[in-house]
Formats: sequence, structure tokens, C-alpha cells
Amino acid sequence: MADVAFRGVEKSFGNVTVIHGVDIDIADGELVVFVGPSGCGKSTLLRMLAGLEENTGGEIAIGDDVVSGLPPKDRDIAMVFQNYALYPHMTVAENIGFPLRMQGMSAAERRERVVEAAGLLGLETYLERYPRELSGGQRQRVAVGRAIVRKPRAFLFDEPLSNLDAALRVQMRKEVKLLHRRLGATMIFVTHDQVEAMTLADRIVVLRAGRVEQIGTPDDIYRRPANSFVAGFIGSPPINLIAGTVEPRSGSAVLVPEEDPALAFPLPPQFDLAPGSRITLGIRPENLLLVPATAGSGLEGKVVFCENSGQESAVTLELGGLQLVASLWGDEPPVIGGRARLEIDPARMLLFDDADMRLEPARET
Amino acid sequence: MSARRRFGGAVAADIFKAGGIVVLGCAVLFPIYWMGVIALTPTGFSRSLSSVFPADITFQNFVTLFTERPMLRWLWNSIVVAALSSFLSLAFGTSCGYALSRLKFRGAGLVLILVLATQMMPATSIVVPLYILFRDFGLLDTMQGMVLGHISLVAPLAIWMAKGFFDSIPADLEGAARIDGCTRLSAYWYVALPLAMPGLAAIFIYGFVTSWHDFLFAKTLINSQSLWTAATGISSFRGEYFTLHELQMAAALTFALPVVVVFLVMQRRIVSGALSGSVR
Repeated sequence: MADVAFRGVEKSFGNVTVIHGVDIDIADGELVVFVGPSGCGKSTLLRMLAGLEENTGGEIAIGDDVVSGLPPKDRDIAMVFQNYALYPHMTVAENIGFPLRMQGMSAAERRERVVEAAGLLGLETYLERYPRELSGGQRQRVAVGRAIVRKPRAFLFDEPLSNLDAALRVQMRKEVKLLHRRLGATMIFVTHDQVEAMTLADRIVVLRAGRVEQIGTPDDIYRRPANSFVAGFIGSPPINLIAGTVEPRSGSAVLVPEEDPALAFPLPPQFDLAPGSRITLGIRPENLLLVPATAGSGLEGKVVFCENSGQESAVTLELGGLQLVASLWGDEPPVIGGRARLEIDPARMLLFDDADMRLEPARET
Repeated sequence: MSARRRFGGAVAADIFKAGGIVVLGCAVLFPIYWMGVIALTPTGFSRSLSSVFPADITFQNFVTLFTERPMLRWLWNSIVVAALSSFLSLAFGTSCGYALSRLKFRGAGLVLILVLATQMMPATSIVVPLYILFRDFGLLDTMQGMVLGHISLVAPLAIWMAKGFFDSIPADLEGAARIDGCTRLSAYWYVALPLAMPGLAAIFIYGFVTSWHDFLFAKTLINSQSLWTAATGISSFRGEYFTLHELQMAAALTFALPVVVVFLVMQRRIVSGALSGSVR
């Protein structure tokens, strides 16, 4: 196992630069997830680490070795592809044993290692089958088996769960996590699914348009997002973002939204906010409390939409020209078209300045 | 409309389809059958055949073919030329096709168009320049010249076919192989080539059949009777004043057999679904 470092890594295709000087340090034994929307460059970063794409700037190191320019076979990494990439003309045993065969290992020793890896993944009874005779989940396990059999310095996973159905994805997610715990290996996992990122990662790297937006633990990313993009990308249902201007009202500051100047959101007092400054207020759906219209407090609005997933309902409330989403746990969802009120806890608010960076409180409450 | 009438209409349509298939089948197979009938008719008697069935059956024409005419030699020449030219076209086509499929380089599109353009030229228009070229290089009336001539016929399409087959193999499979310890060349050898096998078999069959059936190049580039291919040999039964139809048909039947054998051997390799299970 080894640590992995991206130092000022760049990638251009002709005149188009898709990765702009990325710096990431991954510690030995860490499970780091690269997450971001399609086209953000997460898979390109992984492929550059694997050697399937060349970086056009900066350097990539695995352990003490700078691997930029080395062919994939000399990097001592293993990779699980989104589409499995199993060799269809080889059996499961031959697929798993292929990296060992390329190392020149004897057939007997290879067989021993293949059986050991298959045992870890519950594939012992499928060793003589061909990939076409396996289900999607079994194929993905074979791909993982081919990666773990050779004990590489780092494991790379390129959206390996995105082709699986929902139930299998949850199961495989758990298996990857357990595998990481068992092997204690350095793992880099690419996904566009923020739930996968939050549940798997020791640390998350959020990417946008070839740049790192934030690196941090799942808790950091969720509770202390660096900017409104990270706040908006992580979390489901997504965070409510309200852009507006700070105005003084009765001795305290409020946010007057651009979309409906008739509204005013009291802002937390621990921030030093200059009157007239433009900021964005972020509040997560679970931090909005939905109360009956008859309650005396909160902002009243009309229920326009409700997504009920059983345990949770995402209720969209129209407040003048704004629409806000609140999460309702356990309770019966309100009637669409009915009235309700929203209570907002200022302590849970996230504020982003004009440059889109999160504001830190100037003082404790 | 009643159910009975609908049923009757469906039966009539089935009978019409079956009848059509039988007629088409007869139209396709009858010339081959007639070739067999004439080949089995005693020499000189094919013009007096009064029915579609042979009156007397003899294998003497085949015996004559192999004892009094150098049919075996001509067949051997055809086998050597067809096997060599199809194998070399296959090797050349797969290498070029793989490079054009996998490597990104400036002018790749132009190369493909130029290669295709050579296929647009009729063989009759290139046979004369080829004749002059081969004469200057001393390749006229040689087996090497014939093989080269046939490669020029087969290779362009072989390149296109190979590129198509390699395009259909997901690049991630070779990426996985390179991460698993292969060089680009060994990934080609262990992964791309076995998976392209059905395509390679199709290219080989195409090359073999094209070379085997060629008459124009064989007649133009070869003079010596000992170097004739079977196609040229068959034409030699046609004289200025009379044609030995029975011997010619026996030779034609013998000529057709190796292609059928090659197809039967190779068609097992042309299997669908070779890639199933590799990627989602």
C-alpha cells in the first residue's frame, strides 16, 4: 500500500484544458472518493493515475515514485471499471488470475491466490463459469477479485456501482467498505452519486469543471461546504439557496431575497454582515421545520409539491416568489394546495459571500 | 371477417411464402445441380441429354482430369496463392485496422478514405498498371506476383473490416489488460485478437474466396501452364472450335469444393456473442 499525490496535475485535449492544476494528497490506507457532476474530470483524474491517460502538466506520485509517463503495468495499481471490463473469452478463474499470469506466477500458486480472492467475494462456485453466465453483481465481484488478487499499491474504482440496481448497489457499497477495512488498502473511488460518496469515503474530493472545489471528511463537506456549489451538490433533497441583500431591520440583519423583496429572512447574529452586501443563504431541507398554518410563527406559504419516499417527504412550499423544500420525517405529508408555515433555525443557516465562499461566524453565539 | 376466413387467408399466405422459397431455392441450386449432372455424363454426351436426370453416370471425367490434365497442380497453385494472399492480407489488415481503430493520429481519416478509394476502382482498371509494374520488378509469371496482386485486391477491405471489428471491442478491456500487467502489444495479443477472432475468420474467408475466384489477375499475370491457378485451368477446356463441357464441369465441381471446405472449417469461428458479459 502507498500514499498517492497529485501535484499541479493538468490535462488538455488539444486546446481544451479539462483538468486545471489539481493538487490532492491521499494518505496510505485512506478511502478517498472523487465526486462531481458529469464532465467534472473525476474519471480523467483516475485514468491519469492509472496511466490510461497522460497528464499534460504536473506530476502524479504513488508512494515515493513519480509515475507520470510510466505505462499502466509499471504503476502497480488495480482498477475496477464502470462496465466491469471482464475478459469474455476467459473463465472467472482465468479473469481473476490474469494479472498473476502476466507476472509470470506458476499455475499452482496462481490457483491458490485465485481461490483465496474468490473466497473473500463468495465466488468459489463460479470459478469455471464465463462472464456471460453471471449476473451483474457477480460480474462486478469478479472485477473486484481481479483487482484484489495481486495486492497492488492502490485500488482505483471508476463508478463501479453505477450499472447495478438500487438494492445491489447498497449491498456492494457495504462490501467495498468492508473490503477496505479488511485490506487496509489505499482506495480511490470515483462516483457522481453523492450518497455513495458520503457513505463510503474517509475523505471526499468535490470536483467541478476540472478543479477541486473542496477536500474534506463527509461531515466537513456536508456541514461546512466551501461554497454554494459544494453545498448544492452534496445532500438530497438539495439545499435551499436564496440569493439576496443584507438589510438592517429592528436592530438585526435580515436577508431580502432577489426573487421576492417582500420577504425577509432573519440572519444569525454571530456574522458580521455589512448592510447592502449581497450574500446567498443556504438552508438544508431537514433544518426547515414545517408547522401547521395555524401556528403563530414562521413564514406562511402554499404546499405545491410533495415527494413521499415513505420514511421522508420532501415538501415544496411556495413563499411569494420563492420555492423552498423542507424534509418531513415520519409525519403524514401535508395536502397539496394547502397552507403551512416554515420555521427556520438561524443557527443552521449557511451563508455564502458575493464570491460564493462560505462565511465563517465572527463570534460564538 | 369470420375467424375461419382469417385462418384460410393465413394458410394461403404461408403456402405462397413456402412456394416462393422453393422456387428461389431451385433457381439458385439448379445450376449447381446441372454442373454435377454434366460432370457425371460421359465425355461428349452432355449435348444429347434429354432430361434433367443423367442417363448414364460416370466418374471418368474426374479420373481424366487428374490423370491427363494437371488439375492437381492447378488446385495446389490456387490453394497456395489463396492461402498466402488471404493470410498476408489478414495480417496486414488486422495490424492496420487495429492502429486505425485504437491510435489517434493526424490523417487517420484521410488514410481510411484513401484505402476505401482503392476498392472503388474496378480490377480491370488496375490490372494493366499492375502488369507494367510487375514486369519492371520481374514479378510477372511468378507465384509471388500473383500473391501480391491478390493482396492488392483483398487488403483494403480487410483493413476496413478489421477496423470495424476492433471498434466493436470496448477499449476498456485493453485498458484493464494494460493495468493487469500487459504492454500495448500483449494486450492486443491476449485480449483484442482473441475477441476479434470471428471478424478475422470472416476476413480470411473473404480473402480466400476473392483470391480463389480471381480469373483476371491469374490470366494476365501468369503465362506458364505449370503456374496456372485452377480458374485459368478451367478456362483451358474451352477450345476455339469445341468445348469439353463434361471435363470443364468436373473441373468446376472440383474447383468449388475447397472453398466450401474452408467455409465449413472457418464458419465455426464466426460466432455471435463473443463479447457478451465483458461489459455492461
